[in-house]
Amino acid sequence: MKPLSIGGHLGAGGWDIAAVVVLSAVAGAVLCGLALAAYRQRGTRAYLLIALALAALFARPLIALLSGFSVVSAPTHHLLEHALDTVFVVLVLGAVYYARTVEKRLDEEGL
Amino acid sequence: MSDTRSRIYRHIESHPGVHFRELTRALDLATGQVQYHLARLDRVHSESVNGRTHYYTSSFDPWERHAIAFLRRETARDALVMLIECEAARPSEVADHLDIARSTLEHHLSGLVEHDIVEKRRSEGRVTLALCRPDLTVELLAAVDPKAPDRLSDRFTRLLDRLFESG
Repeated sequence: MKPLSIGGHLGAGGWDIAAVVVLSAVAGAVLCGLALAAYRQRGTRAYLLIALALAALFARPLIALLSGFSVVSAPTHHLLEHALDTVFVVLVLGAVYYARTVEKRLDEEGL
Repeated sequence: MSDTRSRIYRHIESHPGVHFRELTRALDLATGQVQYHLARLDRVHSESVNGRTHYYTSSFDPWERHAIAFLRRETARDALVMLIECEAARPSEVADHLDIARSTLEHHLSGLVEHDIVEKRRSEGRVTLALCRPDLTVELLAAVDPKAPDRLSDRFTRLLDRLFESG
């Protein structure tokens, strides 16, 4: 059986992957920054959960980079990526759940 | 006055309500450098609106400083422009016209009302929005324009507001 990956994924010749990972990290950082700015303006739980979810998404390429430099082993990388996917989904579900409280507050203010 | 300090002053003079980060970026200076000079520029005023610090020369009074900070945010600016055009409008009309969620409008209104830029007039249980100082608001409108990162941030927040409110 062929192992999924051994050592660094971004070893010699992996420039295409490296470029995609770096692009993903930069785009992820911008999106995460926007979500943090939104949370700072609104200050409610739903916005915080979205910001944290996007931070989890941003963490994925960072871990891929660490794996590329062999700081994180391939199985750990694999586990962390799936764990971050789960964290992302749970946080978005949480944000959807708490979104109702934003509406309720507006209803109570009679707006 | 040092060369760097006068450069900072001139930038604030030509960009009223500029953000700290925008200053460092536009002038290609380090954070510490800008902090150092700003602390020593006594002709510069700062105003913190929604967690962001804006800088102004002393030619603007506190009311104008707040109005400028809001005019640099796309959604608040759009709402102010609408109120300039139609003088008075109901909150639901403004939200519909700008195609934004009610919560987005209310978040912006809370700051605008707090700083006496917009007033909520109540009659027979209905709320109408109007500008407190329409002429001065028009004058300031020409002085500032939202920058690309501000527009992006504003639009993302608007998107989330709408996602959370729909359904």
